[in-house]
Amino acid sequence: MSKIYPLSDAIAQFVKDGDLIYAAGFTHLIPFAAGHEIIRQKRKDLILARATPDLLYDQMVAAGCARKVIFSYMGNPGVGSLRIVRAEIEAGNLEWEEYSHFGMISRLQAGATGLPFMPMNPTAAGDLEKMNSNYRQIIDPYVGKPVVVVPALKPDVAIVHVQRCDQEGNSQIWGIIGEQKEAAFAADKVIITTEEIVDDSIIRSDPNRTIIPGFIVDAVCLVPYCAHPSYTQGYYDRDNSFYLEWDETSKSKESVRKYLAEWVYGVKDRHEYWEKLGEDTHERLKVTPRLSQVINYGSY
Amino acid sequence: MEITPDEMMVICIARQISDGDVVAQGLATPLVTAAYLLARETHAPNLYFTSAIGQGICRQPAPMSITHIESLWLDRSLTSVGFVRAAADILPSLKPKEFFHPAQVDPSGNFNNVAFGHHYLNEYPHKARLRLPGTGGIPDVTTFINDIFLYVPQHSRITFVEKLDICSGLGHSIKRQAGQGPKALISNLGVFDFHNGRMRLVSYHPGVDLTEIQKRTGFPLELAPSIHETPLPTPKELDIIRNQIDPLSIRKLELLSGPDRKHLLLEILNRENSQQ
Repeated sequence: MSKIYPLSDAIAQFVKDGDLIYAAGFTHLIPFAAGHEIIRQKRKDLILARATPDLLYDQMVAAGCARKVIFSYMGNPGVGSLRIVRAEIEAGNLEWEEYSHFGMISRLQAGATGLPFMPMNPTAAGDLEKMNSNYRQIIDPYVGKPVVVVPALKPDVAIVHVQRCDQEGNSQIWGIIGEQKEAAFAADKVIITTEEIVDDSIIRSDPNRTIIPGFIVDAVCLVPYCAHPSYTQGYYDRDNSFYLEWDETSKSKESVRKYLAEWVYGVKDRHEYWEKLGEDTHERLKVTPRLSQVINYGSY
Repeated sequence: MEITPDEMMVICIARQISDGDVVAQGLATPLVTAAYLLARETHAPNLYFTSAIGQGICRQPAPMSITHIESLWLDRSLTSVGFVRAAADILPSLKPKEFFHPAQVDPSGNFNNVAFGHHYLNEYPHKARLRLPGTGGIPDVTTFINDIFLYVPQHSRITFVEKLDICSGLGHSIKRQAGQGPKALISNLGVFDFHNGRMRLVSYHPGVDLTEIQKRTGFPLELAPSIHETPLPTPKELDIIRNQIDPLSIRKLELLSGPDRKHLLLEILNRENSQQ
């Protein structure tokens, strides 16, 4: 059975109200188009997990999709804070669970490898550890000293944007790699959005670059420019002015409502969104190619 | 020519760098970036750059930029290992020198980047006076690295407090089992060390008087016996900062907030875009 879905069908089939979603990506490859589709389909009560939430989670919280965030650092990179997530937390309207980066990573690694929990060194944030009941202490059975443990994080759905994959979902990422692999292995369902679907011979020509194997992938969605306003290395650049504008937009509920009406509810899909951005923006976000040197795998 | 507080901070941070150091870098810390580049141009040509964000190790620096803030990692990295391996392997094994920007710091150099408000963690629902972005890797790395430094671009009683609302960065604490507490704190007013684990003013920047520093510090100021005026950068160092490393003045962003910061950010973006 083919795994290739239109993005709207993949979201409709695999993302349910109340799900724990891990929309991965790290500075680039953030699956904005998938988040927008979730908003359009009016999912509710989601738990949004990611080590480093950015504008996408701000938009999903603004649209009323979320009841909780799980994170270790959140911000509008280089610009300031996530105004909406921050305001909702400050007002007590949004639940949150906070970790250090290593706490978040340990939870994902446990989830990805099928362990019930992961031991880690106590952090400096004793106050956070005390109030978050997911942080527990046990005695290291080998040396008798206390260690901190955190439970496996097992998302219902991981959404990962990649540069290219084949139709089975064997997915290749290059550049800054976040926690996509761990999120995908930890999740029950995996949705891949991709800039290109390529023949599997291209994937096989450089298998070391395959981060996510197709056998854990449930849906493959061809979504060029999925990551805008973040970027996809080698395909298009980050739209820096969007991040500055969002800092203004997110100051009032009215301007956020207008943004969502125009750019999320007002477009059918990512293709329409990208066309709506216009040629000047397309031109501005073009990147100059810089090819890696070809390596020789040899013929055996 | 008048020397500005941002330039004093850059030179003071650069003076803490030794040749051969492995230094770590955040994404939006241009004062520190400028200082690393200055050190590399002057007395520390053999620096290794690393970060949890870049997830790699670089030897070739990238020019300072807002539009290409990650260029250090995108086209110069020697290795790109991913977030998980960077946090689990690279940072614990290399133990890089790092400069952190605390939202609150106590006299022992413990610090807070979670939220303002004592009751944030104890009440439900958790309401905060001010929710901060979170701590990232600070609670992890401050428990094991030996070269922790702090920097505060806007010295005030909001930041320098007798008691933290929440602790998320380890200073000179009795709880410490490995690594070391901060070696120094550099602010826009002066430079502090930690004598017997307590913050102490070592030097004040030119034009800043001690009553001003005390007024803006939320606990009694301790003075080093050798207290002196912070030595000025040389004309050559100034020239490197202003004309070579950071002609767009990106470093100044960290000393501004609100509309002033936004205005400078837009100006830099426009200038960078017109140069492309």
